[in-house]
Amino acid sequence: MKTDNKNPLVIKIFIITLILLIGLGIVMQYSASNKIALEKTGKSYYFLLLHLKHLLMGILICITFLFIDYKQIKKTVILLFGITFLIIIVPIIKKVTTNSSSPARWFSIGSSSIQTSEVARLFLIIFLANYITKHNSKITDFKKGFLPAFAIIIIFIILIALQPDFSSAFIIYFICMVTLYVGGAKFSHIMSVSSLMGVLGFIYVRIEPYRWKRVLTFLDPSDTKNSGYQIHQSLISLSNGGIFGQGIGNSMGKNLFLPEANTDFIFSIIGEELGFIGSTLFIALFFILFFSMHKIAKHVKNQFGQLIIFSTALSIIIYALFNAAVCSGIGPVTGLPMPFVSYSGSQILINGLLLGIVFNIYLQERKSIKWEK
Amino acid sequence: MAKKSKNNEQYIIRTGTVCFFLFVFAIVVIYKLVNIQILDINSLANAATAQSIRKKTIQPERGLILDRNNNILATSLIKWDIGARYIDLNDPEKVFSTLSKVLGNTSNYYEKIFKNKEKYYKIKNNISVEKVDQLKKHNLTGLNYKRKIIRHYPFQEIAGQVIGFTNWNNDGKAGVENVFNKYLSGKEGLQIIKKDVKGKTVSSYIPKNAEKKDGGDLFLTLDIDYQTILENELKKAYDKNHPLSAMGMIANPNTGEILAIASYPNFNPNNVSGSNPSQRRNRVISDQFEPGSIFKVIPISAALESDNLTPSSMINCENGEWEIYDRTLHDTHENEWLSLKEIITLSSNIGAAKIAKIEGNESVYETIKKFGFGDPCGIGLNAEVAGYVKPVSQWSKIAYSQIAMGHDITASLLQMVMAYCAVANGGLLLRPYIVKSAYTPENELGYSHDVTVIRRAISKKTSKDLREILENVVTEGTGTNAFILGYKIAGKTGTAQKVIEGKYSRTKYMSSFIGFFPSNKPVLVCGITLDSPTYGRHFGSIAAAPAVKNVFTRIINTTDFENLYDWIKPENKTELLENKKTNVEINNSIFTSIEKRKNTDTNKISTNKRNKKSIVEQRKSNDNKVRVIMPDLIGHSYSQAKYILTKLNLQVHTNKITGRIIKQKPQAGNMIYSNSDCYLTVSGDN
Repeated sequence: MKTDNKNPLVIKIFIITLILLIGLGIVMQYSASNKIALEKTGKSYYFLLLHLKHLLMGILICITFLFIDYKQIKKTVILLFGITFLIIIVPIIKKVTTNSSSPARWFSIGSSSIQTSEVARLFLIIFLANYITKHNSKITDFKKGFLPAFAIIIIFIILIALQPDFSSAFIIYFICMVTLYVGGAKFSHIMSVSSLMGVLGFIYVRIEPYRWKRVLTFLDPSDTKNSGYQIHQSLISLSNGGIFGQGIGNSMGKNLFLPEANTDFIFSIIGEELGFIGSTLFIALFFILFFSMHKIAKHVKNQFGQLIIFSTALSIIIYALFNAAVCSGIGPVTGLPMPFVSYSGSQILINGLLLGIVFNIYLQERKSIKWEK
Repeated sequence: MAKKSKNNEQYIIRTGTVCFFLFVFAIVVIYKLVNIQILDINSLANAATAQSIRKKTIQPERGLILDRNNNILATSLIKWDIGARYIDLNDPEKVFSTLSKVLGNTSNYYEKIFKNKEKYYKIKNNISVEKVDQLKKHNLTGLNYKRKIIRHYPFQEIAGQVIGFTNWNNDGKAGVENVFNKYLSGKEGLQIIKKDVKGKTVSSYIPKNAEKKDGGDLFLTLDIDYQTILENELKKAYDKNHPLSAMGMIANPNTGEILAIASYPNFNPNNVSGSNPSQRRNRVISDQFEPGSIFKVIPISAALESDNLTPSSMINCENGEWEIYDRTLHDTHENEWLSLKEIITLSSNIGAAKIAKIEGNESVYETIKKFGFGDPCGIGLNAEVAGYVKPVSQWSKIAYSQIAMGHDITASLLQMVMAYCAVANGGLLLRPYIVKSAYTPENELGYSHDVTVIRRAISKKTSKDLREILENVVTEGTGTNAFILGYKIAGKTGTAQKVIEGKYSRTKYMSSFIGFFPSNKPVLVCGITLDSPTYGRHFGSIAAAPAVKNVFTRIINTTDFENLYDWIKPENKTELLENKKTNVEINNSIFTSIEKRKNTDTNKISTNKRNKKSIVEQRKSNDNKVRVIMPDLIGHSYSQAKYILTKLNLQVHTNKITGRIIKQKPQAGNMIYSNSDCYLTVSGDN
């Protein structure tokens, strides 16, 4: 068997894809946001500069974690739990005590703030990887293995849902369940708790009028002026792109027709400016990223590392696909960002951190990796 | 170890399953994208265009209409309308105070316009380009500027009936504006504007081959100075004689060019809505009437042409009363024997009837048709009438006597003047024209008209005889009111009873005079007809002849009058000068007002076209020159001639400096600019 200490092709593909996505993200972020920025602040590059700042911070935190031994992180799981719990509970308490009507999705220190659901995602990925590695043999046991992990997950999911941020709660729950499944949990366990969660989720959606309305709009998007406006505009933008697109900078939707053009609906702008070819290639880039990470994970001997890489890859592609699905009208309107592209500092930061850990795992484990041909 | 590998196996299978489902998810997304982006199942691609793209047509500037000296008779002014919605104004206070500063009114006035803050209101219309530039400098957000093009006629009512007017859409609706619309109107441009959700412009561009094309220019044969004089004299005649209307025209008999044409009351094309259709009608071409005695030259020329009679042939005029069948013809004067020349001079009805009788119906009819009566002249304007000439086969036994004195036949004044042009120019019936050339929006010559001979109406000899006879009319006959000392004026009066309800009226007359000068080599023909002047002043000799005289006098006076008349015999001069002084004053006042209008209006014209600029410059340089009419120097001594020409500010060139002038260039009566060169040929003997 041939051992190769040099970086294999897959890591090069991984990095190149990542750079491509970030680069495309900068271009599309500017293209989608310049009009909104001009309207709101008078400076067309306002959001571009912030996006670049986020990317810089993401890269810095990535490099920082690249130098931290990922095995040390295992030891801090309890501490992490405490911090995450605090970060997520403080805004909620604040909201309840002040009887505020605005969502408690942000934890702020001074002038900077972070989306708490992103912190929860980070924690849950680390926690699950650690839990599965530790309780490897018991994971198939519902009471002793599955339930404790599920309990931890459900605490955060409920807190996120209470913010309220149903879409983040849903997607993080989904990522956790897939991670448990990959980690060896029984499919029947996952399905049974998930059906219960499904019922609870339905009630949660049904009792809140605006959430229910979103579902109804999704089922019948004919009211294009009010509730169906966003999705209608999103589809108009995509249609306008056609096969080859209108060209970068020529989107119609970004001229304030499409709300949230630089965040939740950025995929529509990509589709409008780069066409079907562009939007498909864009999705393909995420798949290349996912499969390269998946391939790295497969060869990592350390299960903790393996699971972290996989669930990081999974969370990136799941966000990308959900964003694309919402923009093309497959799912109801939610506020999920497109990784690396949408204007979302918290996600860029957390993904940067996770990718830092991934790089550290790779650097530590590569000596023991036997790359197959 | 076995457990580890079993774990790994499970990991690979399970991640594989996850990958598979992710793949399915992606396929679903891409399938949806195919539907949306390629198949466009909801047909939404057009919705994007519909909600964000606005097409705007850009009006071209209409071409200029210019007279023969490149004076601008019709131009396009760019004006702006401004409006706004209150909610779009970033800083309403600043906007209102700036508006009041630039456009007048108080800022409170502007604030009050916006009763509903959401609605769009017009703030002010027809703002000049300068004012808009001033406003734009203040960078007021929320104001909407709308460009429009307004047709403007710098000479106001002058020549309005020929030029016509346009509608709101800058389409020519009357006059040459209408007939030559395809050259003048240009081509609309197209602008594609990308708007944002609030309707604000994001970007705009002009697609290929969609640029606006400004209209081509139209060059007329009109001389605006002559036109002004004619219209002024029509008005004066109208005020003096109170006709229903007055009409007149001036033509160059040698080319058929129309130099002036008008009827009064007239209208101002800048304010079409303030006029009625009868004011807008160009009666010279659109009204037909029984011409009366001005028509007598036609049967006379038939007689001269066939050599049956000569100017000195004597005719018995029956002492002013002649019965034919059931009718009695009357003359205003009782003469027994008159020569043909005297018959015209005194305008004897009986004489004319007898001449027609001698000549015979066929010959008279043929001559009438040769002069173009009964057919349109083909001037190329709308609503030209043909007149009515009864076919000779239908003539009654007394028809010749009626037709000989211009009754039982109808013609337009245009036809009459063109017939006189033929008499004046040596016998050729010419096609009258008013448009010399028209340019396409691409600035290429699209239309041009040159001298067109329709046919020879009479021989040169007949023409010469008639000119002499008609000169006699002015020197000693019915046309003495058109006499101008020092110039050989020829002409004929006409006083025709109008047919009212099938009967000849005894109080309503068409009163006409057609004259030309100089009679030996005519350069101008002028005809004026008054419709029903006050009874008592209804004669052509009283109502129309003085008007023609005034027109000629004032045209002569476009030169420096005192110098021009230095070559007139000294005994006539004092009286002439006396007569002229008043005319000069009138002239001066009317031309100062023309100058004023020219200066204020033409400066505003956008001269974006190269040729337009040069036209304006050329016009300006022409304005600095004084126009003079070349005097008749034949027979004068060289020193006399030199004195006259020097006074007129003309450059004299000669072969000799002693002797009498036998040849001159330019010919007498030519309109030339002062400081031009004159060539004199002096005979050998003193």
